[in-house]
Amino acid sequence: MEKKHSGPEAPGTTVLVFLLLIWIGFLWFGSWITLAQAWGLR
Amino acid sequence: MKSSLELTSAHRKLLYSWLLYAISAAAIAGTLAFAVAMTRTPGVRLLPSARAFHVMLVGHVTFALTIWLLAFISTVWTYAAGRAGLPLNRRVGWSGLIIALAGVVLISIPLARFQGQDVMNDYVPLLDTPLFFVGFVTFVAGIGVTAANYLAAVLRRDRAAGPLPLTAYGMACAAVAMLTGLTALSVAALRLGLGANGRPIYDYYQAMFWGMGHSFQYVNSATMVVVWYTLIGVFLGEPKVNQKLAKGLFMLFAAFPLVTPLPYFFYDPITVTQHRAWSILLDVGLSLPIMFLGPMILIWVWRAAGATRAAPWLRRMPWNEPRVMAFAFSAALFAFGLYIHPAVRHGTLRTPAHYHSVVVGGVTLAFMGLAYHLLSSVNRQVVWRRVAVVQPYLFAGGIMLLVAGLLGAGDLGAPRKTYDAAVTGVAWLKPMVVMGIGAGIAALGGALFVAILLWSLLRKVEKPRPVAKPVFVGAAGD
Repeated sequence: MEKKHSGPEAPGTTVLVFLLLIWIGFLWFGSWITLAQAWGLR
Repeated sequence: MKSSLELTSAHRKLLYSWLLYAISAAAIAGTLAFAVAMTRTPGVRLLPSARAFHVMLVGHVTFALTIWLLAFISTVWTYAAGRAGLPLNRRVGWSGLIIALAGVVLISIPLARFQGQDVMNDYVPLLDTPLFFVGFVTFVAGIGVTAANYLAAVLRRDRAAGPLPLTAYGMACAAVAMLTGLTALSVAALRLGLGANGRPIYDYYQAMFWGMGHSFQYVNSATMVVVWYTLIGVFLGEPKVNQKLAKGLFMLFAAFPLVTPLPYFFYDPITVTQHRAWSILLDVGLSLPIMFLGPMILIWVWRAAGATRAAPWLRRMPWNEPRVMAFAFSAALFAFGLYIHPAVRHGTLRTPAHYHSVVVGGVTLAFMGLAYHLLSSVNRQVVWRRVAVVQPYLFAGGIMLLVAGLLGAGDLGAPRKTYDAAVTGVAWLKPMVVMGIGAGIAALGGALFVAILLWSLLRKVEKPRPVAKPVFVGAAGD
């Protein structure tokens, strides 16, 4: 009988989510800088 | 494990549509493959000109590497969601299919009309004309919608029902990799700008699709491993492997592609492909989880063989069960392709030898095995069972010869992506003949697969039956 649990699916899923957030932040920031340069704001 | 009977009717319709779509794409991909292979076969030279060869090659890669694989992967997302009881949004699901379909229609136009300069860059060789890109982006956007829909269903699921099954978890990782690939393309487009604008066209597109191309191989490979586990699971039930370890390994398929957008920010984007460390990281990362998840299947089979529950015929190899033979050949050809990867020498036919072994021998053959199985999930029967038994052997054998021929020719320095007409008859004549023979056999195997699947799918089922009686029966009764 499988145990029911609400924890992470795999060791490191939490780590992956954390990395994803940092990654998204980096991409958003980098994209914003690129666009700002393209539009002559910086 | 839920049986196919628990798929709702709406779910079955979506699954059916994706399956039909994928098989049709495979038919086109295979036909173009045959045309291309026969053109490079000494003495045959099917296509009359370099232009025709290059356009057909663009068409073949587009329909094979992009459309067939991603359409079938969308089929697997739909199937996995149904099996795991995930709350897939119907409207979004259908939107994804329709958008992807529109993309294929659009991309077919310049291919059919030979419009635009052919550019032979990696992953997405293309015709340099706006309609090709509109079609391509539309298609991958449709797949992206499908992937996002699957992920949303995973996140919205009822946690009280228990942990996610291993195969559903694997497909979630594939979905993350898919979205990462689209992100990489967006970042590349942002950093490179739209339009080569004086830069060398080949370099521009090579850089543009570098990140997305690498990410998509993770999507393909993760799904292939999921399909392996699914196929064996048909006969052995729930995977008897360490779930935490297996899920941790699948997670690598989601984690590694995350680096693909980054080099576009660190360097002058058009030089992205020259910073080999990133490519090497991605290549190594791709094989890592598979080198563990693959042998874990063997451990599972070994454990099950000891159990009294397993069907007696499992103790000897089921030679006449196409789903198992497809898995076996897929694993073998994938392993071989992995083995020859270090021998890849840029610019020679050693490179297509490697990826035809892993992507056609490995991924596509596994997908063929699952396609047979999916027929019962959409209330269809396999027609021509005796032909279906032989089909994986034909296709696998053909691909083995094809790969051997490409490898041999590549060892002798044969170039890739070239019309080759003027140099046929030189040092690599013998291996190229082997290649041609293999291509012919594989084309037959592929054509049989398409014929069986299409006829099985399209044949009118006389009475609507709630219980489909599949020709193949597994241990789980489905």
